[in-house]
Amino acid sequence: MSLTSDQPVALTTKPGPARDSQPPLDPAEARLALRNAEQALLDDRRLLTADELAVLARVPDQSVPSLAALAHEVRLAWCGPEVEVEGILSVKTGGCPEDCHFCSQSSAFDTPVKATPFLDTDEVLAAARETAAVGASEFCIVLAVRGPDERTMQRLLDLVPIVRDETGLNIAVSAGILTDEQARRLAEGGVHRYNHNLETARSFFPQVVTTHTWEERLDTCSLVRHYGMELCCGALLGMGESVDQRIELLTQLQDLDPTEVPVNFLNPRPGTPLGEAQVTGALDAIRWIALFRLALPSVILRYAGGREITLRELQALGMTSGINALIVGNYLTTLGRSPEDDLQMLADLKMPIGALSHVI
Amino acid sequence: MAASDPPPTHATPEHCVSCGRLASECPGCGRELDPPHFCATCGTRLAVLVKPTGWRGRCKVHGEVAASDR
Repeated sequence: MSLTSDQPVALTTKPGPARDSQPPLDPAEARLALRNAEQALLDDRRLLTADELAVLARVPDQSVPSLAALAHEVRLAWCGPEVEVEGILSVKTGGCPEDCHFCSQSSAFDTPVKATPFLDTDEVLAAARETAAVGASEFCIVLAVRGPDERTMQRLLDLVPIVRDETGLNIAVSAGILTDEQARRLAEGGVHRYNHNLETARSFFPQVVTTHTWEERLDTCSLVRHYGMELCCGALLGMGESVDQRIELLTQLQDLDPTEVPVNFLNPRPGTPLGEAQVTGALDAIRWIALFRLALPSVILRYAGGREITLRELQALGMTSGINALIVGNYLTTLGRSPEDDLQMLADLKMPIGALSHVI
Repeated sequence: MAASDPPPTHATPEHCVSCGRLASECPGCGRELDPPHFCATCGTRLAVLVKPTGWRGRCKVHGEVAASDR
């Protein structure tokens, strides 16, 4: 952010629904599409096709609660009632050489985030203990890097067993693009789950990242699975992608078959190219949470960044639209809801907290 | 100051904690879910540690200047 600018950063919160090439279904068409999806997912127990998902994406706004209700039923049938709670910590913040247009930690953009070095082990342990104390079963160690260098690898391989053994938490890592050898060493070093998001559809990716390719991300995801770590592979909605591109991403995630999919909504960051983007509307967010569940019935579908500004007081609605996991507390550089509020929400919804893994 | 008095605070911050400009030149650009990123006293960019259950901001001149346990 320029300190000499005369203008403050201005953001709009006007909802910006994804562009759609097709008109909405009429109510009778919507009911038929929902019945067909119910048959496929609950009776036949098969995945929906891209064409079926594209039809469901066109249900009118008044049918979104029905879409959400089906997604909740599918989640219960395929995954059960448990909700997985996770905390995340940025252990190396800012200074990233990549130019992901949504990210305040890229050195390509002038943002308020100051780069800081790898945290001390004691600081990471303290954060992990606090996360365990609020009932989490998963703790993700996140670094703003293109990929880990050897020094970072050594720090991670030292840190993971310490944090796991001291807290009893499952340890996830997010450290960017991996080589074959790095993926093997992290798996052997006790990393339970590795996060590497596709973020968006292959066809849209070059519009938001130019320093690496979607295929490079896919390669790392494949390595994670090859070496036996659980794959956490998320999406970021609201960057200007179309409805068709969201469907494209869903089918790409179906092919990849990750254990977990965190669903993020863009929280426009000052100083980034997407800093002035419109925030996703609440009803659109519920529609797409439900569609993610219907496309990926067995996955751990996690509430992640941007839910506070997108859904505001409708957090519980997401939990009954297909979500079965959440990031508790703060995010990497921004703040979230209080853990107590989220835990109370789960108690109110009678959703037990537990560690999850892939169903199929 | 009596022993029971609260510690002194910056009643009128000199700098906006979200953009670092002089407070008199910023009409208010802070947002609810962002921690402070600049020192209210000198406008220096803070090293901010955000944890799941709290955050703190450290100024290289003034030390820890902002923190929350949530």
